[in-house]
Amino acid sequence: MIERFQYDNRIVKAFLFATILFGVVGMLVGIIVALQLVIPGLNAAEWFTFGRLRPLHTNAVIFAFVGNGIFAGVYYSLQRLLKARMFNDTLSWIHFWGWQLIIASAAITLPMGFTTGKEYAELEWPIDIAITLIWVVFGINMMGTILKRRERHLYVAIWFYIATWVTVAMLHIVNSVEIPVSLFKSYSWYAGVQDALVQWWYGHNAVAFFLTTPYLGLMYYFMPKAANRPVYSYKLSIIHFWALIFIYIWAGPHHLLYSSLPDWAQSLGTVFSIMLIAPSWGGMLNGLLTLRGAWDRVREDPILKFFVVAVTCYGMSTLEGPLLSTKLLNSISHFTDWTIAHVHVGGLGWNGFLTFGMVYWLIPRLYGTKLYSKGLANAHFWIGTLGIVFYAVPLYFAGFTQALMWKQFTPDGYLVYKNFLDTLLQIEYAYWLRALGGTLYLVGALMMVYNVWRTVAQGKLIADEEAEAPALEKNHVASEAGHWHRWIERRPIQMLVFSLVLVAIGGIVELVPTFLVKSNIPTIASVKPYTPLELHGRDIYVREGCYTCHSQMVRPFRSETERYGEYSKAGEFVYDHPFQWGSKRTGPDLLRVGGKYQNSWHFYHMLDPGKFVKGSLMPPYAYLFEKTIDLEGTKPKIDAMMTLGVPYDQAPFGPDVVADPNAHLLAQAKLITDDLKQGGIEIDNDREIVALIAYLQRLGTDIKQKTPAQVAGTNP
Amino acid sequence: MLKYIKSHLDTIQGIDIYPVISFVLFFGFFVGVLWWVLSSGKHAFDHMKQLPLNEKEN
Repeated sequence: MIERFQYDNRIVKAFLFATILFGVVGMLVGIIVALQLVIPGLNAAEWFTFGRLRPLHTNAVIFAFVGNGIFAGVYYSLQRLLKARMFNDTLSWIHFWGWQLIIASAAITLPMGFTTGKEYAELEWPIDIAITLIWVVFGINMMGTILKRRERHLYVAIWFYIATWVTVAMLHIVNSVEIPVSLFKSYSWYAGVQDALVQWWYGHNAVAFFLTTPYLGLMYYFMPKAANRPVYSYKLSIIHFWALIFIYIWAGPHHLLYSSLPDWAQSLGTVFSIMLIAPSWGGMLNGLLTLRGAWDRVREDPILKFFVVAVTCYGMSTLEGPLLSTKLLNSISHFTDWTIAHVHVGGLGWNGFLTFGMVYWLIPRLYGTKLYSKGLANAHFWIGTLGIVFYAVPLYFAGFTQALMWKQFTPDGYLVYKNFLDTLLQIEYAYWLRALGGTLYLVGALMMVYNVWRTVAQGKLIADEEAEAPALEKNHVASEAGHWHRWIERRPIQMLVFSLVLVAIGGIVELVPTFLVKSNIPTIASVKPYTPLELHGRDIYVREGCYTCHSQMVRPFRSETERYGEYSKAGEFVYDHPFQWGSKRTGPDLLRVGGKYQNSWHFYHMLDPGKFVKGSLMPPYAYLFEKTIDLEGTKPKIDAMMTLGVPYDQAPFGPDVVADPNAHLLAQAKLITDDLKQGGIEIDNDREIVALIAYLQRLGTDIKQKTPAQVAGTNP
Repeated sequence: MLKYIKSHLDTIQGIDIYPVISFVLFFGFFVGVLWWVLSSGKHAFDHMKQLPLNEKEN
C-alpha cells in the first residue's frame, strides 16, 4: 500500500540558518583571538582576554557551527533515506531551541570566566546537564524516525549517525563527571594523569565522533546526491565504518606523548593512530572515486569543488594526524603551532567546506528555486581555499621554526635561545599571515550569506515536502539466505547497542588500568595539597584560561629540562582537579616557575607584561589587582576537594584548617604582601593577584622538598 | 561509592587477561566483517547503494 506523507523542511531550514549564523560568529571570534596574539592591546577587558575568548572560539565552531551543520544534514537526509517524516515535530523543535540555548549560555558564561578548564569541554556543570538532556531528545527523535521507517535497509550514512550519537553521549558523560562547588564552579572528579587521560580520550574522540563520523555520514549522502551517482564502493563504506569506530576510540593518548602518562598507554595511542590511516584513506578514496566519470562537472559545479577539497583535506589531516602521533614527529610538533595548522586543515577544509557545499546544495532545494549566483559561490570557493592556504602554511613554518629554536644548543651545550620570548617573536609574522588567512575565509563565508539571502528571497520555503512510499511489511521474510551482518543492519536498536559495546570496551580497557594499577601513578611523599590561598590562585589560573598559552608539562628532553627544570612526574599531579598540562605553548611552560622569580616580579609582570618584559605578547591582568578573593567560597572549595579525596584533614593541614580555611589563607597572604612591601609595593591581602602569585610560586616546588627519609640519607 | 568499586576491581584475579580477551573479540569481529564484505557478491549491495538517489527531485 502506498502511503503519502510529508518531509519536515522547516526544521532543516532552522538548523541550516543556525549553522550559517554561528559559522560567521565562530570565525569572527577566531579572527579576534588570532589578532589578540599579535596585538596584546586587543585584550581590552576582563571578559575579552585571549584566555577566555579562545574557548569561545573553539566551542562556537565545533558545537555551534559544526553541531548545527550535523543536525541540518541529519534531519534532511534521515527523513529521505528512511522515507519517513521525523518521529516527532515537538521533539525536533525542543532539540533545536535547546541546542541554541546551550550555545547562548556558552557565549555568556565563557567570557565571564565560568569554565572547567578542560579543552573543548569547558562548559560548566549546569550546561553539561542541559547538553545531556538535549542530546537524549535528539537520540529519541532519531531512533523514533528509524523505527517508523518505510525503507527496510539502513543506508551506511545512518550507521554513522547512530555511532555518533551513542559515542558522543558516552564521552560527554564520562568526561563531565565533576563535583559542583557553586552554581558555576565545579572540580573534575579525576585528578592529574587520570584527568588528562579521560580528557584526551574525550578530546580526541570529540574530533572523531563530532567532527568526523557524522560528517562522513553527510559525505556518504550528499556526495552521491551532488554527483548524481552512487557511492563508489558500498563494500568499502562498510569496512570504513566498522574499522573507524573500532580503532578511533583507542587513539586518544597520542595527545599525551612524552607526558607523565604511563608508557604503555602512550604506545597504545601511537599504534592505534597509525592503524587509523587505513580506514580514513579508504573513506577518502571512496568519496573521491564517487566522482568517477563526473570530473568534468567539478570544473563547473561549485558544490562539487567544495566537496573535493573537503574530502582531500580529510585525507590530508588523517594522514598527518597519525604521523604526528609518532614520538619522533610529536617531539617536534607538540606544543607548537603545527598542531594548530593541523586542526585547521581539518576544521576549515573538511568541516567548513563540506558544510558550505551542503548549504549550497540544500538552500535552493528547500526553497524550490535555483542558487542566486553560481559565480559568487565559485568565488567563495576560491577565496576560502586561499584562506586555508594562508592560514595553514605560515603556521607550519611557525611550528617548525619554534620547535627547532627550542631545541637548539651551542657547541658548549647551552641553549641558544634561552629567552622563550625570542622564539615567539621570531614567528610573529606567521601570526599576522594566519589572521589574514582567517579573514579571507570569513569573507568567503560572508559571500555565502549574501548568496543564501538572495536565493531565499527569490524562492519560497517548501515547508512540508510531499512524498510517498509503500509501507513497510510487518512480517518480512528475507528473500535470500541472510548473512549475519544483514541481520544487524536491519535492526537499528541492536546496531546502537553493538556500537556502544564496541566503543565502551575500547574506553574501559584504555581508562580503567590507569585508575586501578597503583604502579601507574607512583606517589611522591613530598607532594602535598595546595593551601587554601593557592587553591584560589589555581582557580583564577583556570578561570583566566592560562592553559590556552602555557603548559604545565616538562617533557623528558634535555632541551626542556635545561630550559624549565626537572621533567614532570605522574605523582606530582595527584591533587590537580582538573589537570592543567595544556596543549600549546605561546608562552613558556610554567610547571617549574615556582620560586624562579620574586613575588615582586610576578606582581609587575601580571600588571603589564608588555611594559615589564619588552616585546611580550601576554595580555595585561590589571583587574586581578582590583578584584577580591571570594573568601566565602573557600570553605565549599575545601569541602569539595575533601570529597574528592584530597587530605586537608592531615598534615601539613588539619581539622582546624578545614574548619576555618580563611585564617590559613589570610596568614599566607600576609606573608606575600609583607614581602612585596619590602620592595615598596602596597597591596591588600585579599586581592586576587596575591592568590595567583601564591599559586605560581608553589608550582612544581613540592618535588624539590626533601622527605624526612631523604634528609636522613636513607634514600639519596 | 567509587572507593567501593575500586577496592573490588583492584582484587580481580587475572585482570591482565581482560584486555587480551577484548582485543581478540574486536579483532575477530573485524575479520568477520571483512570476510563477509569481501565474500558477498558483486551486486549484493546494489539496493542500498542506490538509496540516496532513488527519490524524486523537485
